[in-house]
Amino acid sequence: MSCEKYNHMLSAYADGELGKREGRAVQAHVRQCARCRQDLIEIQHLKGLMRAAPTPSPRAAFWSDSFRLVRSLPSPQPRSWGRPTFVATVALGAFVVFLLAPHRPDPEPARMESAYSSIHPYALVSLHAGGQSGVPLADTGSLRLALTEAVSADLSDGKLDVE
Amino acid sequence: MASSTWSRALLATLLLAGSARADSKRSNDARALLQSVLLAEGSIAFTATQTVIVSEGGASDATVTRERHEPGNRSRVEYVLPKSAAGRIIVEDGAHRWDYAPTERTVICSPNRWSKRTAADAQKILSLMLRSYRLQVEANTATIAGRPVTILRLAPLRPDRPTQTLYVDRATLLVLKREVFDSAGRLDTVSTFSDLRVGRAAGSAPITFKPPENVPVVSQREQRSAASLAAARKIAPSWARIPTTLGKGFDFEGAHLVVMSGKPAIHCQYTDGLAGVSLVEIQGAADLPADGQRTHSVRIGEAEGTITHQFRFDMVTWRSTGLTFSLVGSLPQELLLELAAAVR
Repeated sequence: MSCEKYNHMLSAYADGELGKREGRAVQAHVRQCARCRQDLIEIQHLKGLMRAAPTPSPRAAFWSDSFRLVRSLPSPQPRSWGRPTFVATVALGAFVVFLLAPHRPDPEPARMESAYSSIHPYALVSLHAGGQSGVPLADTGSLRLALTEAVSADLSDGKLDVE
Repeated sequence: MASSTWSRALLATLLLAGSARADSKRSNDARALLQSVLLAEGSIAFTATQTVIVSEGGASDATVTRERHEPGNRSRVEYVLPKSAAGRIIVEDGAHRWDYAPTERTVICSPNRWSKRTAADAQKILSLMLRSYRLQVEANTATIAGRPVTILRLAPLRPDRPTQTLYVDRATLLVLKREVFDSAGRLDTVSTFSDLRVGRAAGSAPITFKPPENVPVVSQREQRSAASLAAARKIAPSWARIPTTLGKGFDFEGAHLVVMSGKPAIHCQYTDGLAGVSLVEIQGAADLPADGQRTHSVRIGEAEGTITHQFRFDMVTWRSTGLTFSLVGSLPQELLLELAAAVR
């Protein structure tokens, strides 16, 4: 099989979706192919990031707000898929989407529309301890201890921030 | 009677003057010593075992590493303890930092710049330090790893940051032992070198690192960095805020561009000459998961934020004007909050 074909199987391999034979073949190829190995690391990293992404949960008041909205809507007309009901349904849908979105205090909502990210505390520790290791009179021994712990935690969680 | 009173007063004055002269001499000695230590740092060849004990809450963590250092900030460090990290190797070859974890079968390679410090650099660091710390050479002497040392105490002028005691090798100016006391005066960290051999072992090869075969190397991309405020403002994106100072003696030290959770970010370092804090600014909204640690809400001016603790570091995180800020440091939380307020 060509390198290109193995490369296309990397994502399925990372998800454990390949059969035993295919999986072993990809594993053997990754061991000897630097490019696919690097690609696999990036895929695993990306999947780690996606796993770590926060799952939005509805606010506590979500259901009561929804029922209140539904009750406030006009009663269904005989021809129920008419224009006014359609508009109301779209409005309700939009409201539900709004309610389901993560609700956090936001000083400037207009500039906060982009998706939420989670910063990993380990990544902050890595950044800080790594930076501090190079400063004058740095206590490199204890900084290294923090850095090692943070990098290990990042690696074991598949969260390492690789650029 | 009167003559006796005058003689006592004269004697007291002479003693006080003598004591003040001794204090002043010790302070001058301390500055000269510290400047020499700063100039020698990263330029001494030695091999040693380093033991680090760090207290965390009611418990303490210890690491033992075998280390070889060479001029040019080259080093090879191998972990002996804790067992979970045994065999881990960290190599700094002057340009890169290689971190090889055999248990994870991964090598992480990150850029590591180092330049030899000049007398002017050392003087600048010393001046910054003197704004926040009182330096004093202790009158008593000690021996560490069989070598006579001078004890240098760096006591904070404000009671809000740690005190450090450095045990400096008289012959090489290497810091052989370091004690860090928290702002309440409790011993927080002790790092000590033992089995010390100064100089490069005859016939030893230069320190380099070659990743083992079949072990993937994760390379952290070369980051754009700046060592001065002017340079940082040149490389910084337009949305970034780079304060000259955070107050309380913490001035800008350097910055580099990073990516945090897929978002552009800038990492700025501030220092009072001894303790450092990191200010991380991320474009857009991000939150800091508690990750099993205790987190509580805080106010930073008008903004709501959180403060949490991880690996002996406190992190204050808040959002303002479309950016997410995190301030990280090993300092009392009250001080971190005051520094955070200065960023706003």
